[in-house]
Amino acid sequence: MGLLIGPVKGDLGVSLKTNSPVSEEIGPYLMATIELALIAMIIAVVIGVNAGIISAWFQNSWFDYVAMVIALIGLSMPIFWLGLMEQYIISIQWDLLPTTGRDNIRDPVEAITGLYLIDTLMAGRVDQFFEVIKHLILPGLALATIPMAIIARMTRSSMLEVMRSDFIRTARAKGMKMFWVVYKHSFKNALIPVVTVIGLQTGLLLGGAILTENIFGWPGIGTYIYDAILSRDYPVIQSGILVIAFLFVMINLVVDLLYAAIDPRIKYK
Amino acid sequence: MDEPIIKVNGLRTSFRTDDGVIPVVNSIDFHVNPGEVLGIVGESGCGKSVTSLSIMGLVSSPAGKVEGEILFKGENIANASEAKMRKIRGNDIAMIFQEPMTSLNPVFTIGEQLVETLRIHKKWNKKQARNRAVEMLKLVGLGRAEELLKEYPHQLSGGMRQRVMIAMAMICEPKLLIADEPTTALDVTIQAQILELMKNLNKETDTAIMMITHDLGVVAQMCERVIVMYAGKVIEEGNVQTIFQNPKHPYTVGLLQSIPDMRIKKERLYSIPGNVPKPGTSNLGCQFAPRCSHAMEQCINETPSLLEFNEGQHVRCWLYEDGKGAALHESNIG
Ligand SMILES: Nc1ncnc2c1ncn2[C@@H]1O[C@H](COP(=O)(O)OP(=O)(O)O)[C@@H](O)[C@H]1O
Ligand code: SF4
Ligand SMILES: [Mg+2]
Repeated sequence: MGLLIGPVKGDLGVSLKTNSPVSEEIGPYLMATIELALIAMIIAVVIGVNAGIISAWFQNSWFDYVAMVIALIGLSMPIFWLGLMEQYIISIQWDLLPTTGRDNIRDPVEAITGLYLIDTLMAGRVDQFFEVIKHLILPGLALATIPMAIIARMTRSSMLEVMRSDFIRTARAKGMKMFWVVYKHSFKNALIPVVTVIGLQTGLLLGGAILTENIFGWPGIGTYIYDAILSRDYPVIQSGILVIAFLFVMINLVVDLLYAAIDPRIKYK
Repeated sequence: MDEPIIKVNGLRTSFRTDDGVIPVVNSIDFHVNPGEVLGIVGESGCGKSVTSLSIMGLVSSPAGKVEGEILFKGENIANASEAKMRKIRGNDIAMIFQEPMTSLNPVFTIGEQLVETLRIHKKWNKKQARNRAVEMLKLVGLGRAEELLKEYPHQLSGGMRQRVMIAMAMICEPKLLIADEPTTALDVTIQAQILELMKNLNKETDTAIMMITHDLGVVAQMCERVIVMYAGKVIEEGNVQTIFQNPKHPYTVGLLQSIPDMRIKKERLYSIPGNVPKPGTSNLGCQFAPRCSHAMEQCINETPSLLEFNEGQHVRCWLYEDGKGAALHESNIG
């Protein structure tokens, strides 16, 4: 019963390894994962959605073909391999970005929210802010790859279906610019399945980035659980998974609320 | 008489498909005079919608190709640039469609969709645009216009949606309204109301209407002049009265016979045997020949030309090349 009631009261048990409460330990790991997942999803959504829209708008154009081939490659990309390649080429060969970690450890900024992008700005440390961004790019890109591909494909097919609708012909018959026909009238209608995959993929990133976090030395929840598994720290494993499951459910709730905001025909009583 | 608003010369619209390039509209000529209601009739599949989309510049490219002349205010707008057509669409030439249920965007309010048209073409502020939207909703007979602005299409019935479509089309006071079977999807009582509305709007404003329909009843109620289309060609043209009293083309005669007449009790309603040929099947001779009981040798191999009769009646049929048509006429009407 403790396992069922405890978490509701904020009690996630005590780590066997460190002897401190998991609820106190888990915070920074969780925020690290959230920061990385958000950046990855922003990259994935901005590029994926636009690639999907433009592919649908110019169906069968060279852009469409190239984008969809890249999406297919992205989908079948082993992410750990992609991460290692990024490190090898961009960090080691070209020496452009750091290989691992979240910030410049020799000169850290005090963690307040645990989201370093915000913490550095709150401390007025613009130099560290850019340092944090540099650390986010490679793992962010690696993590963004698969969601980006899935979002691009979903956006494209949803847009293609909507753009055949009668009301799109109506919008064009009004004299509307094609850009608005596509980005306003079509996109808002195409959004529901797109929001659904964005929600699902965000959930997956929050929980399933163990390999990527490992490669990039990212002190996130994946790393936390991974270490716990290695040391058979059962309370940490259980609680870590519980937290991830909770986040997943919350994201689904947000997605459901978004449905109603997007489509006036959907109402929750 | 004034210059026509739209003059279509040798319009030919074809589509590239897997079976090759198929002409759907095959060299048609007609014009619409200012303020008139012109009827365009024909069975479904004969190219009426493609004709109207050609005028709007909305034939899907690159598969579709428009040739010939579409003169608007004396200027050829066939294949005009998208930027030019955008200024004309919704502003000078507006269009309403057959399916009111799906022709409005489900995720925007009626108000947003009405005001949007104004925003595209007129430099009005929010308040002016809103007032104009309310005024239009009232004009098309929708009560509680203020509330309607905030409602979504799914909250409205089919008839109300078609009224909204009409309001939206008329909001910039276009010179021409193309109505592509605006009442086909509505039930009979609503149909009559919408037609009545359009007729009144036509009288009150100086918007001409191109009334596309497959129903000669609609033509009788609405139009002054009518064009009968068959398989992408104009086969008869004239004043509604002339055509109803004195139809010359066997197809027109058939169409008229297939209107239900309450005064005469018939076992079965007449219908023209056969179907409209699929576009591209044959381009030789009279397209109606396979279904025509008067077809002659000549009809199969040679394409008849459009002959002119009294009062602007035009007919495309071999029967009238040498006077045999008189016989047909008597046999049908007598
Ligand atoms: N985009 C298109 N590509 C190929 N064929 C088309 C296209 N649009 C219409 N058609 C064909 O053109 C013919 C006439 O269509 P349409 O103008 O819609 O007829 P109507 O409005 O008179 O019922 C139909 O046989 C249809 O299959
Ligand atoms: S041309 Fe011949 S086939 Fe065509 S309608 Fe006239 S009589 Fe019939
Ligand atoms: Mg049609």
